[in-house]
Amino acid sequence: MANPYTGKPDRAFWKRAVSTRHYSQLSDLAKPIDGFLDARIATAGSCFAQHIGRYLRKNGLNYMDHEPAPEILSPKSADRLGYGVYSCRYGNIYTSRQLVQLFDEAFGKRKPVDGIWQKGERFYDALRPGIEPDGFVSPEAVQALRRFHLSKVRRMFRKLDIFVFTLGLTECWVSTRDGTAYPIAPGVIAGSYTPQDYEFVNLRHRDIMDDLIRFRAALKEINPQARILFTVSPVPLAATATDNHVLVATTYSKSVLRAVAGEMTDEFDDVHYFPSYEVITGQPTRHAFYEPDLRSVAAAGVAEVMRHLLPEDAVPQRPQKAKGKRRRLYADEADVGYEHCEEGLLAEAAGE
Amino acid sequence: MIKVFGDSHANRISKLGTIPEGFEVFGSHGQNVLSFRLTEQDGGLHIFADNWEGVPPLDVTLLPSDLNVLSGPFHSSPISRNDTWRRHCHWTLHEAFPKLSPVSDAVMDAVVDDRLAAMFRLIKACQNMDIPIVVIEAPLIRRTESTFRGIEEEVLVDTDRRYRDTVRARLAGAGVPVIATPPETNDGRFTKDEFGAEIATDVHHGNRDYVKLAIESVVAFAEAHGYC
Repeated sequence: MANPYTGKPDRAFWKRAVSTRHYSQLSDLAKPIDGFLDARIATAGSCFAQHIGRYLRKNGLNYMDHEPAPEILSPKSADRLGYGVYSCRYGNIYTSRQLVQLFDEAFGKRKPVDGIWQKGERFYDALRPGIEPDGFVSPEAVQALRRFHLSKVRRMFRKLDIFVFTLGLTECWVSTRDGTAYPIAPGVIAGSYTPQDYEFVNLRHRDIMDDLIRFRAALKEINPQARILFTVSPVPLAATATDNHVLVATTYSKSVLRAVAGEMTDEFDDVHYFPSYEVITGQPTRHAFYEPDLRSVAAAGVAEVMRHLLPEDAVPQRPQKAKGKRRRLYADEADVGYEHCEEGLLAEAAGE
Repeated sequence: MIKVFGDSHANRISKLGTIPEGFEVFGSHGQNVLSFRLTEQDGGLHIFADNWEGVPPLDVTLLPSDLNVLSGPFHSSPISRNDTWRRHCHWTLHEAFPKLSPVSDAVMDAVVDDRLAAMFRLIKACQNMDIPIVVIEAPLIRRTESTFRGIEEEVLVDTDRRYRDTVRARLAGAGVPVIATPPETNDGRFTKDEFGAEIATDVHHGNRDYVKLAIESVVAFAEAHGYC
């Protein structure tokens, strides 16, 4: 007797696709993305997205680096200053609100009223406070380097073929004056928290959908061929500003983000989803890819994610460039870990 | 005893200078002050490095009874003439050179900290053992065609100045005196031709006249601080 599941492939059945397989034998988790190997790819998002960019660059894909490090910097110093972490030097973009606001600012549609934070005698770009760990010497320096940065962001959005964005958080802190969403709460890296100037927002499903639909439309307007690849970060919240337990808050955040990513993928043909979240958090790995803190993803986990993103036999075999004088600009994956995770500072700032 | 030791600028002093009594010079190569072996020896600190073929190794023992003059931290030529500055400039120059990508002050801070890491290890070791150590500044670079290599003059001068200012600030923070490059040898931007090395392609070493003034500066410092 026929039923709707008859004839479905193995991947559709838990027993065949999951129960009886070791995680390393999982396959066919996502449909390959047409033209991925030759596409100009830009990355952004929460800290887990850093691994994706590094992996694409290392494997010779057409990874965009629009703010390359000055060659004079050592790879370690370049990394510390946020070079080579993403396609532009925007630091972590944890929320959909940050993404849409960055796009709008780059194209002159908004200007944050409170974009510079201070700590002692140093000044921080409040929209990317992690890129200069010691801050800038003056507000003028923040502004000059932000103007340049935005010009590169503009160019990146105009030129890219695929924009890989890792959704990280729903919780964020925003300015009460103009709604600017920050990557970190004021007062953690710089600035100072005052309830009249800043408020906590936990973005809801509809907020994130609205943001991403708006972002997609704006992107398509300046770059009609652009496609988007969403992933969801498997890294739990370091801290929650809600009254919930952080485990409950994490589940809420990730569920909402995963649902939005799925809905965006269903809604638009040019939006795709890559299941890095499932690779790390799914039952097959029994959470073995988390470090003892149960938050950081171990290197083996990152490698497993990348195996699905870019199977070994799909890695382009490009001719090796002649070994010349040019030395490598960036540190290897193993050298950097999770150094760029402003959110990770939350617990520390709270005295944990 | 006054011991001048370190990079190729110390080597020039050794080769071209009339070395006064009570003076010893241990010249070597710039690479040998970036990485070396440091061991305690006979109540002093022994430094050894042979990172560059064809140049005498750096091989000197610093003693608490000596005035030890390190040439190395101000070896700015590899920094200010680096290809980076064909594509980047300090953010304050970006308006004048819009095709260059601006960098923040943190870039020079990082360059200096990376470059001086070993030298600061040496300075700290000297201070821990009460071994007097001061630093002698290298000559400014020269204004020749081979200086620029596609770098805008203003960018190069600005970079060289920022490098030296940053080094000076780091040394001051560590309590290390600096014997400045003799002011009459430069115009504030470049070493004057009459004090530059005889070979046109050598853009950063001093000549015999420069070395003479440099030795006089060291002697003056030593006299002022009771070392001779």
